[in-house]
Amino acid sequence: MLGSYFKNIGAPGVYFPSLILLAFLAVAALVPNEFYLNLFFMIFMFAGMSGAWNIIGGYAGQISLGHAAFYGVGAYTSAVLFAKLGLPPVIGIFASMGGAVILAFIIGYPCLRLKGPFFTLATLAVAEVLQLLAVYFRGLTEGSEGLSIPYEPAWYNLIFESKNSYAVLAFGYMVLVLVITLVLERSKLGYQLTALRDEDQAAESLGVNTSRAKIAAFVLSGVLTALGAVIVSQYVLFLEPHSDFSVNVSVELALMSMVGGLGTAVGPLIGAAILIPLGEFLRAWVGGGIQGLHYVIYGCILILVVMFMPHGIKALVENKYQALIGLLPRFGAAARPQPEEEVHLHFESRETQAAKDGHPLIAAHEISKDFGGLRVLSGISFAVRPGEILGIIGPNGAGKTTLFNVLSGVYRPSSGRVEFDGQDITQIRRIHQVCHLGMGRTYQIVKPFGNMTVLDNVMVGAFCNQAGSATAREIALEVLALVGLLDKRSHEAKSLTLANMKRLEMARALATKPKLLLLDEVMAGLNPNEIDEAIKLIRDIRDYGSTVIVVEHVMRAIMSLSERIMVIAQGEKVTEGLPREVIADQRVIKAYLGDGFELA
Amino acid sequence: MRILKSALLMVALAALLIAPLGSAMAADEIKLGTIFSRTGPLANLGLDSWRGAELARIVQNQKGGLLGKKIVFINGDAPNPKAAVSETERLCTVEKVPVILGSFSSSISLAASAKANQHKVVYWELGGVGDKITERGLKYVFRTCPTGSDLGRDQLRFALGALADKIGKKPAQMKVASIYEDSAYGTACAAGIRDQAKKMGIKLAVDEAYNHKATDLSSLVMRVKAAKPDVILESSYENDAIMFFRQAQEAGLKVRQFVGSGGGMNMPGYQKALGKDISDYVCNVGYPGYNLNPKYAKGIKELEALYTKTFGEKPTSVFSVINYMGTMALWDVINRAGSMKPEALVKAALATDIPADKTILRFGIKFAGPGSKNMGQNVLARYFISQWQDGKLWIVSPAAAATPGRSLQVK
Amino acid sequence: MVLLQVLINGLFLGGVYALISLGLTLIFGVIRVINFAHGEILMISMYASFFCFSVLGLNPYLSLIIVIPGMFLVGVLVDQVIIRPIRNAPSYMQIFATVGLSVVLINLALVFFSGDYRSINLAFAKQVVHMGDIGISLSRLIVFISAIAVAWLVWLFLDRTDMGKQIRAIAQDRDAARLMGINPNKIYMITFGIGSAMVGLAGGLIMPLYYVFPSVGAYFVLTAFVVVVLGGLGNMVGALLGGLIIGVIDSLSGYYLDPALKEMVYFLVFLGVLLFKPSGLMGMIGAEEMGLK
Repeated sequence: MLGSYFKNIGAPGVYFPSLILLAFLAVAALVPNEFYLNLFFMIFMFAGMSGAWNIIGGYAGQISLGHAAFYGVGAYTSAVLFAKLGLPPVIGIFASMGGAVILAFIIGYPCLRLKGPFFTLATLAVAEVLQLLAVYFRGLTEGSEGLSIPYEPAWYNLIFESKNSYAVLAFGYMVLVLVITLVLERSKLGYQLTALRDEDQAAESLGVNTSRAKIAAFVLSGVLTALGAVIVSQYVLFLEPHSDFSVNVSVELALMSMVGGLGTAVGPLIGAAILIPLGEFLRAWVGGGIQGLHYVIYGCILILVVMFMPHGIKALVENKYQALIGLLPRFGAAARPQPEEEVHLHFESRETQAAKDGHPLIAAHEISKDFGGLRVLSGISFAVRPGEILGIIGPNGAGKTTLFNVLSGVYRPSSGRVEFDGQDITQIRRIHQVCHLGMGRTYQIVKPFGNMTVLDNVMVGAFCNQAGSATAREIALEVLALVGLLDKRSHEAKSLTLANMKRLEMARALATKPKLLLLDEVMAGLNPNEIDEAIKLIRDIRDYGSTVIVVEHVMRAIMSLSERIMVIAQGEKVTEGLPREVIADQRVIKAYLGDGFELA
Repeated sequence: MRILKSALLMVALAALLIAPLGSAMAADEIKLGTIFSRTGPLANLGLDSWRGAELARIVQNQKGGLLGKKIVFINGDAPNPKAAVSETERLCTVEKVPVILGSFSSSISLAASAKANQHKVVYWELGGVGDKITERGLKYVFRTCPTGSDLGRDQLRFALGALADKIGKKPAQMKVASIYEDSAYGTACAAGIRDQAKKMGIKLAVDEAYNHKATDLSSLVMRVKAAKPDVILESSYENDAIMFFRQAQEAGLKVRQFVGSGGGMNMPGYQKALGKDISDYVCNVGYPGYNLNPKYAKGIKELEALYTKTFGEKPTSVFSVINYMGTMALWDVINRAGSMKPEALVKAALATDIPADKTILRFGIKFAGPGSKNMGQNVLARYFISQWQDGKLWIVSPAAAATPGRSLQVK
Repeated sequence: MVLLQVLINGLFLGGVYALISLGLTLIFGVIRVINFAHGEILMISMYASFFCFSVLGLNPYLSLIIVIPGMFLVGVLVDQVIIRPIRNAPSYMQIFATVGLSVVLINLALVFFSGDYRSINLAFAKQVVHMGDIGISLSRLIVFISAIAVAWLVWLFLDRTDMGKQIRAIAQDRDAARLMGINPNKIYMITFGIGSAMVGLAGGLIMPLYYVFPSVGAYFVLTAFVVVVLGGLGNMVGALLGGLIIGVIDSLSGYYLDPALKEMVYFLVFLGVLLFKPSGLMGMIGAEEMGLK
């Protein structure tokens, strides 16, 4: 990271933002005006803390309105240790961060299973409980009277006489959060978070342990918030439960990310740089006049931004910024022009134990599935050999997708079991483990990670077996070449046509290097040409060593693809056999066309 | 849409540029800062407190100002302690005021005064009663009004003194319940009651905190009722005071007298909400209002007239009087200091010795000096006892200050 | 005897919570928006009731005839102006928009009405019927009965009328409902209106008991969230039950534990419900993932 930074320092896209940051640092270090310094301190701190919020709220898409809990715990831990025991905050800061880790686990482990508004409400409640506790245990926190932090300037107390020192410290904190965010963005965890934000279930199917990823993000976010809270409280020198655990703190952090650009590294910086001065300005300008007027304006801005600029100011100025970068000169020897990345088509599947032993790769034994009182699958058994292509057909509502969901561990069957390469799938609790065992799948209704590029989509899958970004990228490019999406790799997934989205689904699944690939109607809605390409692609995949199960309505495709076909209707297996046997079977025709229909 | 977006950007830019400019300083003006809750939950009392200071400014300007200059206020808004800190920051660094007046709320005062002290700006507390404000050894912080624990002290003294007399019980026979909201204000009063009880050897029958944001207090009422007290010493804000009283009535909780400690229990809204039920039934330890005996508090009628003329309505609370008095004391300090330099101001303040008959409230002003536990506190400050009678608060104790024709009543 | 009185107090308080929560749960369940400005709608209705009393001299119980339809219109307005443009946006945007609305409304109230606590001094509100040692406040009894009646009426409405059936259809599957020719925008608008009108009723009924000031809503709305989740998202009977349970918990823990800790007790109950039965008392398992019952 650092190496590549200095290698590219001559590029406008690198030196320009660096210069801006340096300018800010110079201001923080040199400006004598105390008002500006206070303003900059607040901007830097809130940019940093909002950046910390952004990790869980923006990247992972879990809106926390309880970050005041981290803020308060962080601030109080080090302040109590300092004020009561004399422990310097430089050491106390670690206790604060430790407190935040514990809190993140306590809230995160149970609450992150909850979705959307429920998570938001749970975090809100936690902050409320902590506020009440902080008021109640006045022996420790001085309760509502507030805790005054003694003013003893010293670097190890994080208390300074000069405001410049505070501003530089705050600047350092902001840059720390920024760097962590940038590293995160390019890491496995970053990809996984963005993926699960867009499509939780699809991410699981690609081997993402969504709970663990969310908790990791929550811990990181909480720790950084607590760190910031310590710095702020050593500046304000006064803590009070009603403002430090206040929901306003949480809302403010979220708001800055929202205004700047949710889920982007610079968004919180932009948000803080606009909202903090705006708040000061409104208070100075209209605050002394009519009561409450400035909050009316503040609230209106919030509503307008949400309604008219949902991607924040970053998206608004992005193009202009890029144009500006384009105008700037490049210094020094240009780094070697990126060669058109060579893509080797040497796709290999993982070895399977089943192939060695001569067992079936997957075998279903008497699977049944009930929803409430409704029996959707009853007593289905079948087996697939390694290297085979099995087609599954049946009329609408026959239970094909449900069967897929049972095979891939999304549903647990009501009875029966599924053995996959020597493992009982039905005993597995989490979908992502199925992926790690070597099963990939697509969804009938496509679930692309819409806000990520095509390449990034596939990389999420590649991370299933790879920790490093470089290798994951290589694998992803190979797979994209295989499915013919290489030229679209930098498009946003949501901009693709349906046919290409289906290709993308396959590419993602392939990138996990599956032993077995479950394809759920990947050809529905494609034109004849595209169907031919898809048939060829699936054959290629099999030739590279994957076993494939296809659910399909396009008869032409399934007949030419499948080595064997299984027919199910009304949740029961009708027959199983070679394509030409199956198509001639009276029961199959009945299943499709109804009882009264007899073939002439 | 584009226009809207550009407009938003423009506002943001404008904010960056205009915010620090502040107001231009004219040479013949003395600029002083004020920090009060002008918005937020405490806006009501905060604003009325500020009006007291504003009246003192108007009065002094009519007399020709200070040191030959007109006094100007830069009014800061502090809805919460966080905002108080940044407003103080602004007043100290942008407006460069030498003195800040505040601030009704103890939490806000605690946060703002610490910051002002760092900037070596004198913080002149007029109405915030939290004991801590003057217990931190801050050199530039002074308070003219009495403290929160003084409130509690005077509550219990009154209950076991004048009130017990009137009821005809010996102090030792009185069963006393103390309830208080759990923020800085109530906590301080309760501590004062507890200390005084210890000194007098009294055991409190109830000593309970509650959250003033609570939407229901019936369980607290039940607890108090179970203890069957003769008198309830209560420290509440307005909303919770109303709720407690109503729910006490609903539950049939009867005592001989409620003794509040200002806060919300001397507010017109409290009376409006509860009507004649509180008549002869609720006393208040606290700041006196405009109904002091004019023979005792000279000039009080004139002040009331000025209030009405200036703000276009009758005084909405009693807070303006004490804030007025404290601000007038500040003018005395500035005149004696002869300059607006912080060190000169502190020196003059520490030398203050205003006799009781020179102030409108008839208690003197003399600050505890360096080395004492409550440096900067006016050691001569004390409270008055008033009682709701026929829809109004009348001073009933001390007897000399009592509104003509009024005295302590019990049901 | 004390226990009985504490329980009655708790149930009556629960009636207040339930009444406020019913509208929230309806909006929550059908439109799938957490309305963070719900408390402010309560605040508006309390002011409306107050001004009907102080300016027009209308008894607060009588002024419900004005307040309820008025709040219906306010709800429709909020839905069409604020919610409609972001109907299909991710939930966080709706959270932000309603939080913004809440800030605006609180402070507009401050601008227009100042921070004064305003209340109605009604002789009726103080009437208490004594049965032995037990006191029963008539106005609280009215709130309690109204909560039950409203829950029942809305349930009837949803179950029996065409409009109600359409609302339920939308709540269950908005795409399918649209295919069946239901105009979702109209349904959402009406639902928001009905939800707000219910809060209007709540505001009018509690005005004689409480007092109104600009941030009064915040005091109630967090409790209302707790009630709604406890009862099960979008479930009327659940909200009623949840409100009563929270009221009783509030009262019991305040009396037997410590008045300063009672909020904490029910927030802990709330967290417990979220963790162990996120669908709430009356919700179906898995409802929290669907966002409704």
